Parts: sequence; structure tokens; C-alpha cells
Amino acid sequence: MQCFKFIILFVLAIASNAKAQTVISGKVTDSQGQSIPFANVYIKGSFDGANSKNDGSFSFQTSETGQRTLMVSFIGFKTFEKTLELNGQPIQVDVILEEQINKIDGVTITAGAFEASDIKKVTVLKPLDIVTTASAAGDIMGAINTLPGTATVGESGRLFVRGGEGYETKVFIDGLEVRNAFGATAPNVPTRGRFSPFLFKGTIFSTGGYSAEYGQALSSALVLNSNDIAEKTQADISVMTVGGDLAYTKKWENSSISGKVQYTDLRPYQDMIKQDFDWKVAPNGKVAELVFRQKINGTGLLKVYTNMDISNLSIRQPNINNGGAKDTVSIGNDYFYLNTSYKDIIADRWSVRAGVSTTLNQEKIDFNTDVIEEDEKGVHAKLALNWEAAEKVSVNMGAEFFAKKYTNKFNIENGPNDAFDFKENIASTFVETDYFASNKFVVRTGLRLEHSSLLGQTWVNPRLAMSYKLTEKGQFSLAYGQYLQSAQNDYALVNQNLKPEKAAHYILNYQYIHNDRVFRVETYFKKYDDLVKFIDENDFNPNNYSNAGFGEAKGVDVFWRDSKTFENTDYWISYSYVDSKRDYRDFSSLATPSFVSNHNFSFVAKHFVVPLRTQFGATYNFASSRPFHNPNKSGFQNDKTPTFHDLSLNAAFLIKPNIILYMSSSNIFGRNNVFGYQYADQANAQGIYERQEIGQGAKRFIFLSLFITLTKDGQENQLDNL
Amino acid sequence: MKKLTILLALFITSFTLNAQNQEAYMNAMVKGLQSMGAERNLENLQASAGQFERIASNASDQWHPQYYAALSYINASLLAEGVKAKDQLLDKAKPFVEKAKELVPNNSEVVALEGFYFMAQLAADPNTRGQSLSGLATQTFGYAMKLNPENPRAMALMAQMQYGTAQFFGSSTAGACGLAQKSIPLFNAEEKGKSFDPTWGIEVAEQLMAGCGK
Repeated sequence: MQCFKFIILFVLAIASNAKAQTVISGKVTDSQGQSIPFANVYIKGSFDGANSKNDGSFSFQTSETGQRTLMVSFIGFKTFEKTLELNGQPIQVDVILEEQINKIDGVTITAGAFEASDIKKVTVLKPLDIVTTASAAGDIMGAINTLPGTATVGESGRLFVRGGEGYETKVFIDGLEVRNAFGATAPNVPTRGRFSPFLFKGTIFSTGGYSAEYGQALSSALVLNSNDIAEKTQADISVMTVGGDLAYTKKWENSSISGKVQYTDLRPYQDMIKQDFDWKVAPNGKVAELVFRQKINGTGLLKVYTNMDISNLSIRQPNINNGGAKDTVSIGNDYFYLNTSYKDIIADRWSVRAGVSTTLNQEKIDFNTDVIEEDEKGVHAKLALNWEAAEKVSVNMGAEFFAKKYTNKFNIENGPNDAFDFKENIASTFVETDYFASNKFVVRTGLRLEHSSLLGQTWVNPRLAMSYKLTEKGQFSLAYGQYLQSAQNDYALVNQNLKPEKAAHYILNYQYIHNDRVFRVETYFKKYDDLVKFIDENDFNPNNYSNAGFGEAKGVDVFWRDSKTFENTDYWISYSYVDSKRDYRDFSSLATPSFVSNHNFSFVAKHFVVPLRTQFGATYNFASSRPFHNPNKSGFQNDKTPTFHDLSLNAAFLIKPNIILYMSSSNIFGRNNVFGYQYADQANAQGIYERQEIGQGAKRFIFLSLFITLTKDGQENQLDNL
Repeated sequence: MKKLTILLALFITSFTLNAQNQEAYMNAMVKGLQSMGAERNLENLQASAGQFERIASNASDQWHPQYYAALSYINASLLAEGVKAKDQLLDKAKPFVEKAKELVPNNSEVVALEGFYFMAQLAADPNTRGQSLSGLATQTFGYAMKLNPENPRAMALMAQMQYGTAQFFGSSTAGACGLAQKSIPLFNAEEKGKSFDPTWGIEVAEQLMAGCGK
């Protein structure tokens, strides 16, 4: 009997499992009634479901019964849930999916910012573009200089942004300050950025209106984001006409380490190719780099980067005040940079970024028999928290600390033999909130508070930005911000009560991205205040230095990039118009400074020839004439230089998968570009002030290099290829 | 005694439910594999991807649904038009690759799948991604072959990478063709329908061999 009961129960159990099938059908649309294909429609906790078809319709059978939840999910939309009573009767459900606020792919703030990012996002520039830009010669700054908002200032090599001086652009690596990001150099001898483009997976070049997270920069922030854990173990060898380097990278499961040594020496090259500069010792240097990455607890990433750079140069420069007799200027530079950062997710919706950077820079300048030693030490510490406060709100906040010590020692023949120094500590906090009203509209409000120990003063800087997405492809952005930067070392050394210089940015931007084509136009107004003003640069009386300077810059930047129209061809065009006037430094009146050219134009093209496995590149840079002060005429900043033209070409030939031959030449036509003139302090016997040109170091710079990568794959024949 | 009966009944019901669940899992997997094996178009691949995604969310301890969800999305990306559309599908594939790696670490099939994912990323935009991803894909296939030297999918995909590289550089494709050739008997030796372990890929090798014969 018990046995019988058991059988009955068993049969019942089986029977109850053999349930009726319920057919569920319907249509998936968005709130505008547009059908959504490929949405995933299913019964929660079962395998029963289907994908919606091209017209949004779906239909499937389920053997589930009773109260069950129907789920509909699709990327970019909130998951739809509805409880259904399943009893064998067909059910019709019309599903309307609600759009999800997408903080990553939706509307983003683009005013002022040029982003070059990893392979995924649609961006204006990619890291590889930097290396293959003809005029850049492998320098990040050279490639950035083909973007709108920048000006060609050939005798400097620094980034001059929107009527701002070179020092107004600040470089950050992983959010941490880099001091002396450019190599040390003599007056009117162009420099280069110190850092290899291969270190970075992404670059954000902001020409104004940047976030409250970045301070101590009046005009521009160049934010370099370094690579994560290396992808593979490999060795790299480069042989160049100006030196060579060796690098080795070792990758483990959760960490990687790379080391690189580089030796650069322009002496053999300059012995072979005629130079216009009279080098006593051409630039030469040694660089050692160490990069360490460690994943911690699955979500955390520790990054350590060090750069040690020792360089020397010596040049003879004609002195117009000394009958053309030459001065000898020698520079010895010892540089050390250490950047340690950590980022992690600390809780649901909370993530943290923390880091410390240290810069030590020593320059020994020998001017004939005089010796000047400059020593700058800087530390920057930052702690930032990101909080996804709500679906539509994210908050970025943090605290920073900058410490700086600058020492200047003079050892002047028959003159003063003295040392001066000053210290400045700046503490700041920032908070910034992004509010996504919809996937079309975002507003960012920020506030930055800075306190200087040197001045015992506190400043509050507001920032505001917003973007409105008109269509899938086009959007408008607006940005406003107030920015501060401490007075330059040379001036703060003389007068330690100088306030920081100030700038306010107003930016309106329109950007259109579609199908590998980018169009951007941006107009701006920038107002400068509290600029350092003095009577004579060689005057050491603190009372003659003040913050009485002021100025403004306004203009339009246009950018067009197209990698679609012509096969295997990518090109971009930048045009910048700027109108800028200042009364600062030793200016006698409001005038356009010498580094400003009203019109700057760049055309960059790259074409890959598949049968030759070679990418050819060309860059044409143009800058309109620059003003200078001609004491032989009346007035101030009363004369203009000739215009600047440069056509550079390059070619990268892939010999083997792991061997690249690279060639480039600047200024193919050998044009004699003149950047300005130096005038004698005194008029000659005829009452005329004599002058000499500030020009190029050589007609052109030719560069040849061979890059070899060695990897040890599980595959023997990878190495056989060598 | 009555109590025992109920207990027994409960035990049996739960057992049958489990068995039914097991059966549902089998049926769902078979259905997914069928739609993946049907005519190769975006719609079928999206359907199989959706199916495996549903199974994966419900049988989260099994690597097979994760594997096939990723594979469907990767194959769909190869058919999609435009870098953006391809990337969107590959973005969908990625978490399934990651999850499969987590469930069965150092499984040659899953490692080969990851290599296939890199290869599809590369194929979406070879001009800008070639440099960074070709090495990574090759290295990943190499690792899959090290884990299981008899894995024909790892071999065929590796052969495809090598073939493309050799063609681009105008060097000999003999190595690539040899590898593809070697994979074919291994493909043929695979028993189909015995488990959910992957058996796809002979077409990759055969297509390569067709090119090799020329």
C-alpha cells in the first residue's frame, strides 16, 4: 500500500511537471514608438525566451506556470519587468523600453578638449597618430602642435595655446603634475617634450575650460594617461641617426615591469649635416625609465613610473651688443621624475584615485664665464573620489597639495655671488558634479579652492560646462572657468608677494562626428588679469614687480578630420584665428606679444600603400607673421616678421611584422623661416639699431630610425621571422 | 510512516525538478546550437547569442553557455558593418569571455576563444589596431596551443593569423598552411553531439587550405 502511494505520488509529480505551454508574444519599442530589434525577452529564472525580430516583434513558448516575471533587456535601455500569470492562454505584451542614462557613450563635455584615447572610443586623435605625424619627429608636443588652438613658435618648441605663453600649458601624467616637462635648452633653441608617446594609451589636450580637477594652469592642460599592465613580454631595440634605445618588458598575470635606457647624441649627425646654429657640443643625453604595474585585489591598479634624464649642450650664439662676438651658453640638466598612482573601486558607486609625483630638476647654465645654477623641487599629492551618486548624477571631488622649492645661485665674474630661494605650498580642494538631465543634455558645475602658503591667501575658482546633443552626431558645448597660476619662478624669486596670474575662459563649441569624419568649430574669449609686470627684467628691486598686467585673447578654432573618403588615407586640417593683446612684463602699452601669429594652419595627411607596406605622411604648417618691436621705427611692437611655412614628410616602412624603418624630414623646401629679431641695445654711429635674425637651427632635420621588437611567443617561427 | 512518505515525495519531486531543469538546460543549449549552426546571418547569430545569454544567466556555473554567447557575438561582429557596430557586438562578447575564463581557468578552448576575440577586434579596424593586437592574438593562440597541443581551433585560428601576416609581408605561407593542414584530421576526429564542448572551426582550416592550394 505504501509502495502504491509512492508510485502515485511519483506519477503525480511527473504529471504536474508536464505542464501546458504558454505562448507569449508582443512587440518591443522605445518611448518614441521605434521598434527595437534583438532585445532579449525571457522568463526570469528559466531558459525560455527569444530575441525580438527586426520589426521589434517576438514570440516564444514557455512551460512555466503561475506567476512569473517577464524580463526584456537591451543595451542602452533600462530592463523591463512585468509579472504575468501563465496558464496556457496566449499572452500579448507590448513592451516599451525606457532609455538608460549612459554616462560613458551618451552626451559628453567637449568644449575645449581634444581627446586621444584607446582603441575603443570614437575620438579625434589616437595615440598612434602622434607617432606618425610627419612634423612631430616622435614628439608628443610636436603632434599636438598640429591641432587647432596652438601656434607655431619655432624658436621655442613649447605649446602656446590661444594667445597664451608656453608656461601657461601644464602637463599632467595620470592626473599628477609634471614640472619641466620639456627638456632644458638655451635661449631661442627649440626644445622637445621629455616623454615617449608609447608610454601613454590616451591623451586629453584641453585648450581651455577644463575641469576643476586641474589647477595651476592658465591656458591649457595636457593630460597624459599612461598604459595599464603591459600586454606582452617583449624586447624593443631602436637604432636612430641620433642615438638608440633598449627596452625590455616582462608581463605576469597581474603585473608588469618595463625598463628602458636611451642614449641620444646629435654630435655625429651635426658633424655630417650643415647646421646654422654654431654648436660647441650638440645636445646629448641619457635617459633611464622604469615602469611598474600591479593589479591589486582584482579592481585596484598601482602604477609607478620613473624617468631619469641627464643631458648636456653647448652653443655659441652671436651677441648683437658685442659686435657679433659670440657668447658660449652651456646647459647641463639633471632631471628626475617619479609618479606613483593608485586607483580602485572602494564600494558600490565609489572609486578612488590617489597619487604622488615628484620632480627634481637641476640646470647648470654657463654663460661665458658666469655660472647660474637653478634647482627646482616639486611634489604634488592628490586624493580624488568619484561617486556615482544617482543614475543621473556623478560627483568628482578631491584634495591636492603642491609643494615647490626653487633655488637660484649666481656666480658672476666680477659681480654678485649669491643664492636666492623661495618655497611655496599650495593646498587645494575641488568638487565637481555632472548632472545628466537626459542622454542629450549634461551640466557640469565645479568649484576649486586654492590656498597659497607663500601669500597666506585663498582663492575660489568656479567652473561650469554643459553640452547639448542635437542629433546622434552633432552637439553643442559651452564652458566657463576661472584659472590661476602662480607667478613664474624668476619673478617670484625677486618679489615673493606676487599674486597668482588669472585667466577667465568662455568657450562655445560645436562638434560633429560621423563615419570616421570629425568636424569641430570652437570660439572663445579669454581674459587675463594680475599678469606680472616689471620695468626691466634685469632689475632685482622687488618694488618694480607687480600684478598690474592684463590682457585678452579671442578667436576661432576649426578642425576637420576625415579617414573615410579616400581609401587608406587619413588627413586633418586645423585652422586657428587668434587676436590677442596684453600689457604685461616690460611692455610700454597694450600690444600683441611676439609669440602670437593671428592665423595658424596645419594640414596633416597619412596614406598607407599596401603593396609597399609603407605609410607615407606629410604635414604642412603655416603661421602668419608675428609682431616684434623695431626700435628704428616709432611705436611699440610695430613691425612684423615674414610668414612661416614648413612642409615635412615622413615614411614608415614595415619590413617584417616586428621591424619598422622610419624616415622623416622637416622643411623639405629648406625655407629660411625667421621667428623674430634681436636688436642692439644701443644705436650705431648712423643712429640705427642693428639687428640679427632669430632663425632655425638648420635648414631641415632629417631623421632615420629602425625599430625592432622581439617577442617570445609559444611559436618558434615568430622568432624565425627575424 | 506518513511523514516518511511526504519526505520521500518531496525528495522525488525535487529530484524530478532538478532533472527537468537539467533537461531544460540541455534543450535550451541544443536550441542555441541549432540557431548558431543555421544559416550564418546577423539575425540568427543574435538569436543564438540571446539564447546563450539567457542560459548563462540561469546556469551561471556552466562555462559552455558563456563560451557560446561570446562566440555568437564574435561571429556576429565579423558580419556587422562598420567599426562602431562591430565594437558594440564585441563589447557584448567580452564579459562572457571573462566569465568563462573565470569558470575554467587555463582551458585551451576558452583561451583560443579569447584569441578569437582579439582577432575580431583587429579585423574591425586593422589599420589602427594591427600593431597592438596582432601580437596579442598570436600570443594568445600560442598559449592555447601550449595548454592543449591538439586543439584544432587554436591551430586553425593561429594559422589564419600567420597566413594574413605572411601575405602582408609577402613571405612564405608554408608555415601557416602546414598548421591548417595539421588541424584538419584533428577536427575530423572530434565526436559531434556527445557533449557541449566546441567542435566548430573546420571551415576556417578548409578555407585557408583552399587559399594554400593556389
